[in-house]
Amino acid sequence: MLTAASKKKAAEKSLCGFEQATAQHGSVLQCLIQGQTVQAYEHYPSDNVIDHESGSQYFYHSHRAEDSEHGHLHLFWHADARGRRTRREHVQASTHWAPTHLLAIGLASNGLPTSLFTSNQWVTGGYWFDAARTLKMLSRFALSETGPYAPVNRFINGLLVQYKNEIEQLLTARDNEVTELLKKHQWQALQEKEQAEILSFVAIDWVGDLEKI
Amino acid sequence: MSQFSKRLQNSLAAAVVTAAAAASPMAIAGCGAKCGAKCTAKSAAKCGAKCGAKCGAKCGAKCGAKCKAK
Repeated sequence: MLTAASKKKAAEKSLCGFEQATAQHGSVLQCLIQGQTVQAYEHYPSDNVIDHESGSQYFYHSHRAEDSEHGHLHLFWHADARGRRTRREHVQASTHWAPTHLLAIGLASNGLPTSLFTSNQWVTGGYWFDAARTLKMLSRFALSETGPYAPVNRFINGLLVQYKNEIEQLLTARDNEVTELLKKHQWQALQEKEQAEILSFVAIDWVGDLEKI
Repeated sequence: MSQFSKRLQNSLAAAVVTAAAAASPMAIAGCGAKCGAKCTAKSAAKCGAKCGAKCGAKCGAKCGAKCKAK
């Protein structure tokens, strides 16, 4: 259960990261892009941001020109096929581990977060887990708040807690959508279906939400 | 206006607006990878994707890319 105090603390952390990224680099996006010209589908940073200790990973990319978002962050957590991760080791230490997609965070061209969404395995590969298991993974998702991407890492760490309730709804909606789609498609076909790449989507109003805190 | 809201507005006022993404080199190269994979050559077998998930087919990349090559 997310208390008001926890939500406020998380919002403070996220806002702090956003302010630091903007002050030091120009924006959250620019912290990851480092002044490069963004090319569709490229990863920023190119080798992703990986926290080997916690097994957390993310990258930014842009490819949905038809949408109002500039691009999005894809968040992953490394675990085995049963969703387990028992040791704190380098993410490549085990061949049984794969980066499971947790959710994506849509960003506007000035770095403002605008949406949360989930996708099928056509987009991200990795193992597939239901909402309950994915939420457990999310609770262990943690990015080191040191190093070159510290401001963005702080921004993400805070945002995931601030929007914990919305993320629970997002993942539940994803599972419900999958249940519906499975009435028409086989599991494998569904997960590889390009037209079903976005399974659930929640628009967020960070400006409005911070105003309420 | 709340303190958080004021801080965010101040930060947004200073934020750089990043230009929209340019066309993907992989699209030019004909690789159908979805996730950010960088296609470096004519065949999917050399799709140098980078993001973590296993790419099927003939592309050995570990990135989340879905390789559509023949």
